[in-house]
Amino acid sequence: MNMHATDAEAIAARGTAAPRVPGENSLWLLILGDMVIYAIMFLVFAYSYQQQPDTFAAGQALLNKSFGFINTLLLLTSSWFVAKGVRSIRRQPRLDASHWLLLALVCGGAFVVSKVVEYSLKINAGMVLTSNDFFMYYYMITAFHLIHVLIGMTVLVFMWRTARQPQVSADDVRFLESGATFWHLVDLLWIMIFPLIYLLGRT
Amino acid sequence: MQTPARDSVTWVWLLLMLITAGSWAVGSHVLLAANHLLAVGAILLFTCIKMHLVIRHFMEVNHAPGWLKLFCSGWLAVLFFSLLGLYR
Repeated sequence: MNMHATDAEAIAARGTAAPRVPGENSLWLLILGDMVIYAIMFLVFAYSYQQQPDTFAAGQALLNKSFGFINTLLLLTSSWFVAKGVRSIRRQPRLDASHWLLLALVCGGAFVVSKVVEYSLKINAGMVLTSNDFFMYYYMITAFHLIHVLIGMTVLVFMWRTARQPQVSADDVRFLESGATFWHLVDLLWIMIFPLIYLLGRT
Repeated sequence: MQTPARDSVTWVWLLLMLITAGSWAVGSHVLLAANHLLAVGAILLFTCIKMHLVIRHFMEVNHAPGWLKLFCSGWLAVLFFSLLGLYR
């Protein structure tokens, strides 16, 4: 297989106006499935809020909004870094994408550290999974998201290694696009988790 | 053709940061005390605009087939209107 020919094909494919999705088609099935599952979780959370507004408002008042806010900025920025990385690798001549991916990893790491600090503060203050329905949802939704962050970071490590290769094939580009799309999903879901858990609700 | 596309992700990111800061200010201080429904509507609207930007520009659904654009927009619309109804 001629590497250069594959590169050229990959670049040519991107120049066409025909609709396409970045990355593997099968990955999009997982992405859309995740979107549906999260939509159900968001609606169940909101429905429970409506059933016990006082419990939820009291729980929300105990959260530190700054954590949610900073985490949002971290994920938005890491998503931008990944987007820059993917666009760098597609350029002709190809630009180094690895530093963008490393920056995204640093933001992801900062998100995890911030989440661990937030959880420890809450647990030490006696707010645990079994405290009430608000905290049950708070831990469930954010922990399920944190698992996504950790999976995404693992993928980012492999993406970084791929981007460091002297030659990248069309398959490599597709892998980077797949990983990037998953990382954007992690960002996308947090964008809704932040207002839902930290901001909305009666004061 | 590639240059504007490359620059656009940076503009999208700046816009996302700006909306986040704005919606945080709304959520934590200004409007919430004055008018609950207005605050909820504004926060949800800003949130959905941000998600739309991520879907269309970062996830590149802008260049995807019509059915995927439709699915994503439908998903956002369901979330926006259901949450607005439940939080009002």
